[in-house]
Amino acid sequence: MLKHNIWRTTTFRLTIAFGAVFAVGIVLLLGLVYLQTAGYLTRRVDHILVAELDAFSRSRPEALPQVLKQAASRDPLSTSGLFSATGELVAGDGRLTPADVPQDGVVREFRRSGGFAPQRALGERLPWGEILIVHRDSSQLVELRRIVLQALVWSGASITVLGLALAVLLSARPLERIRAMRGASEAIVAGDLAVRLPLDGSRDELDELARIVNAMMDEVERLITQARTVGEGVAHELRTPLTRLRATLDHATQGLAPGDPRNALLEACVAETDSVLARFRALLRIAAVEARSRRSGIERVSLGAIVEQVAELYAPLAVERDVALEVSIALVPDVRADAELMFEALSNLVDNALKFTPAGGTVRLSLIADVAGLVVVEVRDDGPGIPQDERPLVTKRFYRSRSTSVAPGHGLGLSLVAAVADLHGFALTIEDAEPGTVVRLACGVQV
Amino acid sequence: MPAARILTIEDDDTTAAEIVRDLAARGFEVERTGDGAEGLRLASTGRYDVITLDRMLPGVDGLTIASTLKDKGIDTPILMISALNDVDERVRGLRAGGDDYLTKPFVLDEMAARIEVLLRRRRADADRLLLRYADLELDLVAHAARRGGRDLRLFPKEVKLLEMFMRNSEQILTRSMIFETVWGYSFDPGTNLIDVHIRALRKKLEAPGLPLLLHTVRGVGYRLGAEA
Repeated sequence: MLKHNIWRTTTFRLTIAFGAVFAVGIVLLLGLVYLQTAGYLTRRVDHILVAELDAFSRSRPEALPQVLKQAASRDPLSTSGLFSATGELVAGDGRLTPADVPQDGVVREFRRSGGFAPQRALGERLPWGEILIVHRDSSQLVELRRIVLQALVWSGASITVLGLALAVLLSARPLERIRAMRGASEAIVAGDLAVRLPLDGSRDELDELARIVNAMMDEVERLITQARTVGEGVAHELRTPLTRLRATLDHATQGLAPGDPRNALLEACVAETDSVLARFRALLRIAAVEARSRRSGIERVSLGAIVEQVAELYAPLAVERDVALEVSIALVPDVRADAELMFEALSNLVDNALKFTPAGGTVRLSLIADVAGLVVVEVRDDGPGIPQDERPLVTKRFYRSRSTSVAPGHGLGLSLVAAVADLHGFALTIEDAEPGTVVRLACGVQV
Repeated sequence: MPAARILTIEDDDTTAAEIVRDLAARGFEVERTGDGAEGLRLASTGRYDVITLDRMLPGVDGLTIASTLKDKGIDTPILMISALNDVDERVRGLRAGGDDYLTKPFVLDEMAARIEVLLRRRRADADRLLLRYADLELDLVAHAARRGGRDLRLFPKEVKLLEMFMRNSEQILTRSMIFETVWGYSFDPGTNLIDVHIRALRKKLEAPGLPLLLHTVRGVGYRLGAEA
């Protein structure tokens, strides 16, 4: 992931751009130095050649061979050759002939293979008809060019390598931070509103952005908590008057003769009040679980025993509903969990499954160890199933599936299961069992 | 038998008035105090048959009162009453010396039923392993139940359920009391789950021609006993 995205970071692109500009600068600098130096050296050689030719041409013709010899021994880099009017060598060096070097007073460069260093040469026809060719070793120019070229290659290579390394190095940190921020954002999207983007205190632009987002999240969390606590507050406040209402209704019932038709009405009122109270209790219970006030209850528990108890608790209900409750318990390691909450959560799952399975159906409650080494409790029914688009919604408070809205219930069961799963860090998944629904609670083994 | 004496330690006047009125109407002698220290002093006299104790009190709190009383050797049953509906709180209350725990707001019948059971527990011999009521017999050693010489084939949970009823015969047992005692959990198990278990037990218990033993007390719970 790091490798894939690193090319896209601003830091990486900037570093690469700076590297390229720097490389062009180096090329220009070295090129200029080379051109200037080469020009200077060429001019110097050419000067020497012109001066030598001038000096030689002013000698006496008969003394010239001797002068050439002396000059050659004085400065081995400069060599000259004296040729007859027809081009035969009279004295000196004959490697460059009048045929090679035009006698027009212009200095030229000559290269030849076979141990012959590059030469700059100048030729002139002397007043008495003989031809004089002076030339000088110019391999220093070639050497200079080689040095400059080598410098270019090496500096170019090191700039590229160093630039890339620097770019990766500089980009890795922002990328690392982006990754941390992405993790935090995913947690927030998953519903954990308490998570904030990490700050590193550098007060750079990324930090500032994270600060802004965090301030935004504070506000979002405050609003959502407010909305939620309003609900909880209402539930909490209404419980006492409702309990009194129920007592009063109950009292009214007691004053009636057994055959009075008002009995049924009052009883319906009591039942209705009880169901409202049950909803409030469930809501507050979920709030209590979500407030994570029960971390203290987490200990090593045997899910097998809990599953067995749940099955035992619901067996008569299944019989009454004419639904087969099949239980299979595999030998699994203990998990760290709150036994009471797990019992409550599994009860809710089985209760739901029994509720939504038509008579003659089957509910399977199984405890299995999956391939990943997790202990999984699975409740599978062959009822109407939960449509795909509704699955994320069923764990939300009061949500009841369209297809099951005829069954009794307050729609808080799965919310509680979700809250319990969340508290433990267990994964709750709801899938289509074709037909029916399979709800899985995957519990980590951390003994 | 003289009326049972109840001490109500509760600082909220409305709740206290309700409790006192209800218990008095049921024929109990009730004394009330709103102060923790005063409550502890009164309870220490050991004159009461049951104490209802609010968990949150000004001065000395409910947990301290309960544990102090137990340390002093006062064995008056204590019904802890609390607005804190958290299982941890419940466990803490029972551990501190409460004999039962009730969460506010509560139905007065529920409180009364719990107080009756606490009173009964004090008198009854809890160690008995052979329970009898009318023509019903429960042997807790052999896990065998019989009615009028007929063996009843009960599941282990049904044995526990029947045991609770027989130890508290003629007492009203609410659904939450049953769930707490027989299953050991204190959450809301859904309205009719306990009813289903009672129905199953009833099916095994009752027989045509024999008097009905397990009665439904409308709006409250169940009672094992003679026809009302």
